[in-house]
Amino acid sequence: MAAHALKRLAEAVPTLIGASMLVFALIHLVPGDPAAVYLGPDALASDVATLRHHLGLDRPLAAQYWLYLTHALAGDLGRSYTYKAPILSLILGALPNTLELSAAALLFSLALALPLGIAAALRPQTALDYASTTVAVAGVAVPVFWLAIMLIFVFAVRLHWLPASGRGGPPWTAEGLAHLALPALSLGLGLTASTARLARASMLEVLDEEYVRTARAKGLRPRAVTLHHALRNALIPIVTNVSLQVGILLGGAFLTETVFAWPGIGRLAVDAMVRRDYPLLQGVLLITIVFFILVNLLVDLVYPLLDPRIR
Amino acid sequence: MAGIDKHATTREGTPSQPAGVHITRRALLRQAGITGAAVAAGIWLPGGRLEAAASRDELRIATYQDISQLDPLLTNDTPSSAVYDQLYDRLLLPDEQMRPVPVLAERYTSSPDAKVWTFALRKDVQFHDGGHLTADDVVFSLARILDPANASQKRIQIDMIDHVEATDPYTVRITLKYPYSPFPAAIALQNVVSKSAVQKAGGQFTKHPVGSGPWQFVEWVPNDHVTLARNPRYWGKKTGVARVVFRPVPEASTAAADLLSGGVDIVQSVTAGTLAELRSSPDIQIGTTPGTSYGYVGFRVVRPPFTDVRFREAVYRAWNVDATVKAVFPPEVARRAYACIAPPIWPDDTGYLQSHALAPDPTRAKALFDQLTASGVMPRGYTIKVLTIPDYRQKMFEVLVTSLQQLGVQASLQVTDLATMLRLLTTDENYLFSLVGGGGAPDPDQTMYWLFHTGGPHATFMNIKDPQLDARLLRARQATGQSARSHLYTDIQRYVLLEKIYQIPAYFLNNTNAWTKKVQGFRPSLIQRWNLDTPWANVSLAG
Repeated sequence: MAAHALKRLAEAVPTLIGASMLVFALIHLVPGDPAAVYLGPDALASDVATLRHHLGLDRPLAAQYWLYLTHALAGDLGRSYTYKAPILSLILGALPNTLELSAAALLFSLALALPLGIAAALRPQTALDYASTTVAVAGVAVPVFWLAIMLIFVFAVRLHWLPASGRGGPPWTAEGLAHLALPALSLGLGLTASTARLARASMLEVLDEEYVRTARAKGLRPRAVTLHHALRNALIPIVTNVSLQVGILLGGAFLTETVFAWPGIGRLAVDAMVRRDYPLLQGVLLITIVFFILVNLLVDLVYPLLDPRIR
Repeated sequence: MAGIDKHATTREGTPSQPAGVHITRRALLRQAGITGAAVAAGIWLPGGRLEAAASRDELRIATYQDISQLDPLLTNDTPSSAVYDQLYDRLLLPDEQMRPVPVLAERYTSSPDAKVWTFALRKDVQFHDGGHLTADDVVFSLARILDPANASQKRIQIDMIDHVEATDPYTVRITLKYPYSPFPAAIALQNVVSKSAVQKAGGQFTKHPVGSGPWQFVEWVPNDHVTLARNPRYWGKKTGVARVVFRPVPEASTAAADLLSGGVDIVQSVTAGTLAELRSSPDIQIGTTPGTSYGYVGFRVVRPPFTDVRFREAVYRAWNVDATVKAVFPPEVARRAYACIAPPIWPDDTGYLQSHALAPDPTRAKALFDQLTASGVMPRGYTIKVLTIPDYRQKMFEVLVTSLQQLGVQASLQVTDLATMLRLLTTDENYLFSLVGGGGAPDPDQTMYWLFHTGGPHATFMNIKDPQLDARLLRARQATGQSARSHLYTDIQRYVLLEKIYQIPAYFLNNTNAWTKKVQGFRPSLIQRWNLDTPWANVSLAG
């Protein structure tokens, strides 16, 4: 098991280097000079040139990348042009907030999607199934930002139940929970939809399996059959899907965080893009990729626990 | 991913309902109950905790972007200066008529040639850390901006300074490189920091800012909020509320929702999209002041036909600027500009410039384009390249491009972001573009010099190199007395707009803020810098 985990970790290194190269190239291919943006339209050309030199932007791209890579491997992601602070500390400050939001969205979506999906599978072609399908289709079709704005309009502006934006504090406080509710809801709904559909399909398939029939034939209670024999096996594609969705969650967080003024890495990245803060943007993207790879690794390690046949 | 999708869809609609699973309904109901309770808890429990503004003695302001620094040396961006201007006093501050009035300076004098300026400081000023503010701090604050090694964005505002000295603990003498009569307007932009605090912080001053302003720093959580508290040592009138919190809310509709739901008390930037909803609320006040930022349509004159004044006239006459500005900008956002210098900054030559502005005249425009083509100045099939960023200006240029196309002139609109646009405006290419200039200082010099003097930032984008104009700008900058300078700037504006048509004056941006009616004594600023509390105004919350 440990050897397997280490092997997977080692395999992640070239992926990361490739990703860093891609991220670096993409960011630098976007036209626009960070020095000119930083100083604004009211700046003298000579001051822009001086700043370019200060930031090392006048060096060849390959040299800039080599410097970046060697520093990054040593754990130094550089300093933000805008904040003039170490990037790692900026990201570490914002990452917990993004994780908090993503985790809340994930929890919310699973809490809603699994019962919906299972119920639909147990009663296919009934009103319950159609209702679940309708919710799922709507969840996939509605764009996150539109849903976010609608939620704000209803719950903050009209009803005054929840705050419109910001992070009120840790999620275990009432204030924190109130601020978390709307962003988590809007981020989680899209995931709810796809998970519910998958849960339904997966359950239907598993309920048709021989071992489920055997379990029933043994005279096990239907509830035990559903939860212990069917659901556990049906979870495998769902877990895979959720792990892939983590990337989508983090990506969706960029939008959700902007709409809800949530202080996570998505906001950091969007701001960095607008201000052409290359090192900060690179840092956020790189950390996001690392995170994505780690989650997938984790999922690989969880499979055997769910299905003994994989062991 | 594809495999998963396949897996998910192959079993869709399979009518296989195993027998004997009815009992799960209870489990399901329980599950649903738990989920429902969790959702309800999230919605209901903290719902009642939304506080009313009046009960909190804390003013909350939504800004459009997070601050980047709290050390005025390090940045000039609007979100940052909106916060640090509350922390640091200035020698002078522009009042509501845009006259620089003494704040840290009790009075000031200048030599007859406007080259040496002497400021007598107040003696009762303490920094937030208890230290006394002296001339040394003023000298230090200006010297660090002027040091080229610091690459400060502020340097261009005061690079006329030759040297600064403290002649006694409460007197500062500033000697300029050349006579510069608008110097009070330039110095009115500069904040005074505590020398000892900067030295003690060792590069971390931006995280531990110490000034002498009415507010002192409490905390900054990036992208979340900056909190300031009343400075109990303030030499002037104390602030009307105990704390102020600045919260970056980038999405304008969210900021409006925050205002409507009581999450914030003031919204710093209001967009057209949210105006209607804010206007309809009886609890919200919307205030607009005629801002001084000047939006122009510039010609980047690199080669013919852009270098030919007839071409610039033809473009100007091809579209209806008046109608376009009215259609594109809500009145709260902008108003038509006929001049470069926005009233209330002098001179106000609007009457003359408006009556002599080039009227839309497609027939004349067409004739001019034909003339230019016939004489070979404008190649047959020439495409006018138009650059814009995706804001109001895009709509403005869509009208312009359509107007040109109706005359049979080819024009292409390239929509890009500011960074890309600024880059393209340094290339060897003719462009029609729009930028915003001026608005930073209460004196015509900064607007006009930066716009039109060779090497000035905007003149560089337009590629203007006009020695005669340079000489006139220098004369206007160095002349003394407002009336003499007024005449000079009036002439310059008529020259660049009517005679040379270096640019098309398009709009002046208004400053529009929205606030709840509980907020008292707040007014939007005329320039891009603003102060919550000044010697003549205090913001407070009605109880």
